[in-house]
This record gives sequence, C-alpha cells and structure tokens, in this order.
Amino acid sequence: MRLIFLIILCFGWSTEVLSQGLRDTTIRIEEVHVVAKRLPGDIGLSRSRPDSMALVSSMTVQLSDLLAGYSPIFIKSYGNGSVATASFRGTAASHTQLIWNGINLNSPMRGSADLSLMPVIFIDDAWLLHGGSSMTETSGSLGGSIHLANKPDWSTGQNATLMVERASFNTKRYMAKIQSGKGRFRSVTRLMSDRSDNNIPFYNAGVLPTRKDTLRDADYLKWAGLQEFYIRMKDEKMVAARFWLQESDRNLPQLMSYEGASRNEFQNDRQFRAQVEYRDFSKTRQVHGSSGFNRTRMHYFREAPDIKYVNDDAVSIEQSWYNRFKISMNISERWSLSSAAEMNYHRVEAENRARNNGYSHDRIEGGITLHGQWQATGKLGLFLLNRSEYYDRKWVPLVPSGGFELQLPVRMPVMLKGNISENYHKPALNDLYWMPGGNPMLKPEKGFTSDLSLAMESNTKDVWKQEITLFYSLIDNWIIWQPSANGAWYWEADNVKKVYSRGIEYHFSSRMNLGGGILRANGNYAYTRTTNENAVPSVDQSRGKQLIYIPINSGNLHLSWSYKPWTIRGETSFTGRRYTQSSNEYTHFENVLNPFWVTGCSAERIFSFAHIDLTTRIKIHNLLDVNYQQILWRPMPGRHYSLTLGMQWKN
Amino acid sequence: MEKLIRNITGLIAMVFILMSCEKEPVETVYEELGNRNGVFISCEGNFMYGNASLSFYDEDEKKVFNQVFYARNRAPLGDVAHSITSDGNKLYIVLNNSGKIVVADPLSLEYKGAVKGLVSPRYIHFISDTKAYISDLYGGRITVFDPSSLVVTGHIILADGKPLSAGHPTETFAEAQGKVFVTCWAYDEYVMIIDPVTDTVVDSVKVPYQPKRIVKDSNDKLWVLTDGNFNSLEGNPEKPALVRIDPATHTVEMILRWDIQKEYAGDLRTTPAGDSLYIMAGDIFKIPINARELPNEPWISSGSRRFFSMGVNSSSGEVYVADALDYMQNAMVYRHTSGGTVIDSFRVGVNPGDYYFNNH
Repeated sequence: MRLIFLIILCFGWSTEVLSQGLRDTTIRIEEVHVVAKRLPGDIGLSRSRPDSMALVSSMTVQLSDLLAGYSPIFIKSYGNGSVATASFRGTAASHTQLIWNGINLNSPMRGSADLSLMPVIFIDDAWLLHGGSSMTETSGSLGGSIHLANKPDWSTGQNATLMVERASFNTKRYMAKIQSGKGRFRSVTRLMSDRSDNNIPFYNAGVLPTRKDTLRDADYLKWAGLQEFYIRMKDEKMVAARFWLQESDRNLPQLMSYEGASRNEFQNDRQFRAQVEYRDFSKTRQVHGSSGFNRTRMHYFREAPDIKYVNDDAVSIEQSWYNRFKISMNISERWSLSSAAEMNYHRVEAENRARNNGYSHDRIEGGITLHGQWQATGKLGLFLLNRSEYYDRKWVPLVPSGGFELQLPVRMPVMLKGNISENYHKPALNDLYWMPGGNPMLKPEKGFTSDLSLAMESNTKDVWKQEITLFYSLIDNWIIWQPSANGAWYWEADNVKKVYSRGIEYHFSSRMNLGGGILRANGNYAYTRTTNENAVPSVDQSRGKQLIYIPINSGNLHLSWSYKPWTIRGETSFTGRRYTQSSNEYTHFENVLNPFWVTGCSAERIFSFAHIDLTTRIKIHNLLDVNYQQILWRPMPGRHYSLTLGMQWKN
Repeated sequence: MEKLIRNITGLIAMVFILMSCEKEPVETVYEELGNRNGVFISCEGNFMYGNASLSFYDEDEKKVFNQVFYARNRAPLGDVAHSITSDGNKLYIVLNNSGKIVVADPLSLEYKGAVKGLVSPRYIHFISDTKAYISDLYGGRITVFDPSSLVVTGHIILADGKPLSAGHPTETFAEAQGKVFVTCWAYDEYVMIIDPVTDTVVDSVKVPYQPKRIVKDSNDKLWVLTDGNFNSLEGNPEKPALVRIDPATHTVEMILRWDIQKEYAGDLRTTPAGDSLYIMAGDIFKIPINARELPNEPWISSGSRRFFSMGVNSSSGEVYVADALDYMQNAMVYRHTSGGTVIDSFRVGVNPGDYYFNNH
C-alpha cells in the first residue's frame, strides 16, 4: 500500500510540477536504439551493453551508478559520490579492466579503477565483455572488462545538449555536450560539474545511544572537460584526438562509530588524458591504431587538526603511455583474422610526506594477440585466440582462448555460445613495491575461465531478447593484502587464495507497443558463488566460503513507458547478503551486510520546438526509504529527489 | 506482452527463490556474566570495518561468550578494540580508530558511557579512583581523565622537538618507584617518565628503536621490548631488543639484541611471580629475568599458526595465545597451563588483541 501511495505521489507530484512551470525549460533527448549487430570478432564472445535508453537517462550521473542499475556487475561504493569499484563475476576490483577508446584506465598503481570518476555524459557507447571474452581486447580481466567509446554524430554538424540537475543534499550538477563542425570535421566539447554537501541524514546504530544523525565531512566537488576532434577521410578512414581533464575533491567521512577528535581527511584526484586514434573501416580490412597518455595525481591527506598532527600526506603520480595497433581482415567469407600489438609504459611515484616513505617504479608491458575466426557452416562459428604478454622482463608466450557459436535449429533465433580461456593478471605496482608491505616476489594470478550462453531474440514486431550464461573460473595465486604474517604492524600483499567462481547471469530486454505508447523492460540477474578453496589449517573456516563483500544474488529491473512526450520509469535493484568475515560467520550481531532492494521512479516530459527539445525529469531515488549499507558502517542515502532540466539543440 | 510479463515474473521469482535459499542467522543470546571467573578478550576486528567485539571465556566451565557487548547493548563497540582493562568497577575498552573508550559494567556489560574526543587511544593506566592516563599513538600527549565521571581533566604534553610532530607517541605503561613509565613506540626511541602526582614529565630514558611493551619484574626492574623498526622503510633495520631499565636511576642496565629477521617482536608479559618473561616473536619464548642471553628455542611453537596476541592470568599463571588464522574470521585462542600444556581452545572474535582477567 505504501509503495502504491508513493508511486502515485511520485508521478502525481511530478505531473503537477511539470504542468505548472517547467514547460519552457525542457529538452527532447532523442532515443537511440542500438540494433544488435555482429561485430567482426564476436564469434563465441559474451558481450552485453546497457540499454541505450539507460545511457540517455543516466547522463547526469557517474559510470558506477549506470553499471549498478543496468548491468550484472556489483558496484562496491563507499557512499554517495565516494570511491566506487566494480566486482565482475565475483572477482576483485583489479580484475575488471576499464577501457576508454582502447586505453586502459585502471590505475597501474592500485590495479583498479574508480568508477565514480567517470561521467556518463562523457560516454557515447558502453559495453561489457564478460570473463574470458575480454581477452580479445585486453588482459588481466579475470572477471571481465568495461569498454567506453566516444563517437561524433556525423548526421548533423552542430548540436548541443545542456543539462542542469538539482538534487537532495544540496547537490548541483551541470552537464554540457556541444558538437560543431561541418563536412569531414567535427569538434565535440563535453563539460561536467558535480558538487554536493552530501549531508545525508541517517539513523546511527553505530554509537550509543543510537540516534538520528547527519553524515558530516562527505562533501565533494568534481569537474571535468573532454575535448574531441574528428576528421573523417575518404574510404571510411577517421582520425581522432581527445583531451580529458578532470579534478575531484572529496572529503572523506568517518565510520558511523567514530566519536574521536576532529579529523580532516580528504582525497584529491586530478587526471589528464590525451589520445590520438586512427580507424579504417574498410569492408575487408579494419585498422585501429591509438596512442594515449594518462596522468593521474592523487593526494590523500589526513590530520588531527586539534593537535596539528598530520597522519598522512600522500601524493602519488601515475603516468602511462599506451600504444595499440590492431588489424582485422576478412580473408574469405568464412575466415577472418585479427592481430593486435600493444606496448605500454607506466611510471609511478608515490610519496607519503608525513611518514617520509614511498617508492617510485616503472613498468614496461606489451602484448601480441592473434585471433582467428572460422565460420565453419552457416550455423557454426569457431574462434581461437592467443595472447603473448610481456611485463617486468617476464615473457608469457601462451595465454590461449577458444570458443564456438552455434545457431540452434529452432524457429526463432537461438544461439548457443561458449568459450574457455586461460587468463592471468599481473600484480599492480603497489602489490609489488608499496612500502611497507609490497611484495616483489608476488606471482601473477592465473587460472581458467569459461562460459556457456544461450541467447534468444524475437523475430516478431515486438522486440525482445534474453540471454542466460553459465560461467566458471578457477583462479590461483589470488593476491590479497592482509596483516603481516610475521606479526608486524603493517599489511602486506601475498598470493594467498585459490578462488573458485561460478554462477549464472541472466539478461533480458523487451520493447513493445502498449496503449498507444512504447513499453520497455530490461533486467539482469546474477548468481555468483565465489569461494576460497585453499584454506590450510584445520581450524580455518574460510574454505569453501563466499568471498567477503560479494553478493551471491543480485539483480535489477527497469520498466519504462513512453507515451507521446511523456516517459515514466520504475526501477529496482537487489543486492543479496554479503559477508564481511572470510568464514561467513552469520549471527544476528555479527558483521553481515543485509540484503536490500533500492527502488526508484521518475517522470519525464519532452517539449519539442523547431530546433530545440526541452526536457524535464523528476526522480525519486530510494523510494521506499530503505536503510542499507554497501560498506560496513558507511551510511547510504534514504529517499531523496532530483530534478533535471535539459535542452537539446540541433541545427 | 505475455513474453514481457513472463520475463519479469521469471526474474523476480528467481531472485526470491534464491534469496529464500540463503541460510538463516544464528541468534546470539544475551547472558549476564555475573561473577564468573574468566577472561575478557577484546577483539580488534579489522581496520575500517567497525567490527571490534568483546568475548568472555569462563575458565571454570570452559565456556565462551562472544559478541557480549553487542548482545547486551545492541550496538557495536567501534573500530579496532586495541586494549581492555578494568579498575574493578568498570570495564574499559579502548577503540583506537573510533577515538573513544567505551565503558561497560563488567557483570551485565551494560553501556556506562564513553571517553570521547580522543585522537588515537591505545592503553589506559589507572593512577587512582579519580585519575587515569590514556596513551595515544598520534596525539603527542597523554590524556588524563577521571574514571568516576569519565570526564577528561587534562593532558600531559610530550613534546619531542621534531618538526611536524605532535610529540612523543605513547604506548604502554608501567609504574615503579612511584613514577609512571610509558613507552614511545612509533618511530621513537624513548621511555618517558611521569610524576603521577603533578602529571608532569620528569625524565626520559633513551632505548633502542621503537619501544613497545613495558612490564615490571619481581625485582622492581622494568623490561622493555623494542621491535627495532622491523623491515625499516629506510632500509636500515635495527634488531629488536629486550631492555632492562632501573626505575630508580632511570638508566638502561642491559640490552639483549634479538637476532631474528623474519619474525616481529610483538608482545611482552611476565609470569605472575615476575620471575620470568614471555616474549611473542612468531613463537612464544620464555626467559628468566636473571638470564644473560635470549633463548633460541621457543617455549610454545606457533607451527602453522599466526600468533596475534598473548595474555597471562596473573592469578593462575595460565597463558592465552591467539591465532588470528587469516585475520578475516573469528580467531582461535589456546589456553595453556603455566607449564605450556594446552588445556583448552576456543573461538572468539576477529583478531583478539588484549586480555583482562576477571579473577574473583
């Protein structure tokens, strides 16, 4: 009853607001319908992408929010606007590679990528390669990889999108995307600003007496600019240059249970990325070459201002130079071959000025990929792939992968796909050299991963498709940081675990006409069992237990109905129980993160004029005001609201 | 439309079915401890997890009670329970990374209040019914508070003259000759001497690098375990040492260097009589106070275990040693006789760090 009331309230209120004063300030965001198309190199691969509408409706948020709502990836977030990392198929954050136009954005120092620093408005296309399928594009993705791409709109010369969003907790977001150019030249400028006091009210059960409380020192400011230039040459050749500048200042709040002296703790991230890219889209030969530079400066600071004592004043500078060249050729109607070569250089300088320690180190890494595909019959395709990798003067000649794709003999399009891969992940530079605790003797994590998928797609006027995937991986030499085995005060990295991960991923999407409008629905479900298999002492109860912070069950569901200029949406996501002890200890009082559903709804209206569309959207987040934690004793926002106004101009 | 409904229904049904397969929690029931004879064990939990806990082990019935504070008060202790002690009336649990000391009734475990606003508290030393000291890892000062009211009454500043330093980082206490001796552990090399009447620093003793634990023996001498900057960041490791200090003259009488490179000298305790010392450095070593050299053979060998802490019952002489396992699960505690024989083992919270023996 409460749910129904809130939904009615949500839509009723938004309708009233819209009808009263926002008609002149909205835009039309054009629907982009991506038609699934076989890409060269897709035989046997497990590839998925968030619904194109998801990208459009999530333009004011960060990639972490998009993936949490529209993919099977579990996002581990430290709070609203805070660091967010991905866990793909139950693996660690460093096992998911984030690729932007071919450049790997994972930190060479930490191995992971902060998805809360990736504005969705900076993305034109996003897709996921699950498990071993990621080997076609990158290495080290034991769970999978996330791919982001930018592309200009060649169908129009000038266009612009401006968005303003006001949200609870004094959150203000401004987004702009401006394209200009004519003929064979395009310039795209994207700007983003996101700031929030982030003073979330929550019930503090971490102190006595328990009480209503407000999160303090969690405010943040993020801004970024991305400038792109494109020149399209004849014969479908294109040259692109991109420059990305971004800065984020985030105060870091304390745990709920903190009642100590005041702390001043913040993290500042500054990134500069530059890339030149060449593409040749000929029918028989596709060429892609790119060279990119990525510089990240991260400053972590913590002090006790009452006594003017600085605990940490750590600055790290990571500089990476990426080079990649890939050529794909359709040798015949049945055979295609692609080859890629990469050579990257990383340099890390890390210094904690308060503790007078740090390290500097560099790394050269490279790889060669050979990927052959054979369309054996009209219904059966096979692929074979091998990566040869080089890093830190080590040569790994054989990292093979193979798979198949079979069109089943039924009336509707049903595809059976499978692949098996050897995969490995090299230690990050912090794992090797961090002082103290880095372990230069670390071995790479390596193992097997495989999946088997059944994909179905309608051949009727209503579009629907679904895919179910069984996956399996066994990873040895899993690296974790834990208190020093010799009892010293610091933590150290070690190859500790053998991890067995298996599960099911299910995805569906539908689109159909209903009541004169269009009804869309899509959803994801993931069942992920990720267990430690090599606990040794008999009293160690972690053997066979789920890894901490990995939910066994998770899923999301989205419904939207578009009728003329109106779109109403409802969404819910479920995150299952997560354990915080390796033994999966579970009593009423112990440290289990309870399962939660987070539900939201929104209403959107588009006002169209000659060259301008105005859009207004009102959204209720966490509609049921669920009290939940993603990380132990880190509060998440209850019910809150956002109002988005947008304008899209097209010449 | 039917397919859409079927898909959505199927997805939701799948989630609910699999959710229902998840196991149910084991209920922890609150039980008043009363006048049980046993030991309180503060379990650190994991840094930034806020999962510190309190366990109690009944020595007579060989029965362990875990999560006793949460069971009674329905709230967690906080983040990193570094130490535990009692003045006989109240139980004090020092929550290092919560910047507070939680106070509870030792019989009912009822929350009685807290000393808040601390920087990085480590240990408590009681001077009288109305005065106690709190050491601090970063504070550069000792906090003075009144145990009867839990009000902070002052600070003892321990300036070290270093730039960008708040002062000496303080760790463990021992009292001898009417003076309080406190070790200065992190990146320091002093034992500071404090007059507990005037709350002023009266002297200091320079010792080998990073003095951690200090205890008093039966001869009224003080022993300090220094960890020697294990795996020094500067690449110049200094060996750990056992140091004897004369509390009357404030001088170092003897330094025994520990020729170990692989293990960390983590803890030091005395036998109830004060005639021998226990040292935890990978294994547990035992050394008479009149020995002139450190032992080569362990008294209790760790084997494949990861010894995390130890406690000695000052009444029975029994030695408790914790194995942290993988540091991410409830740990094992082994109870030994004073002769070193295991007489029981039991499971407590994550990373048990300190012991308070509640002998009646």
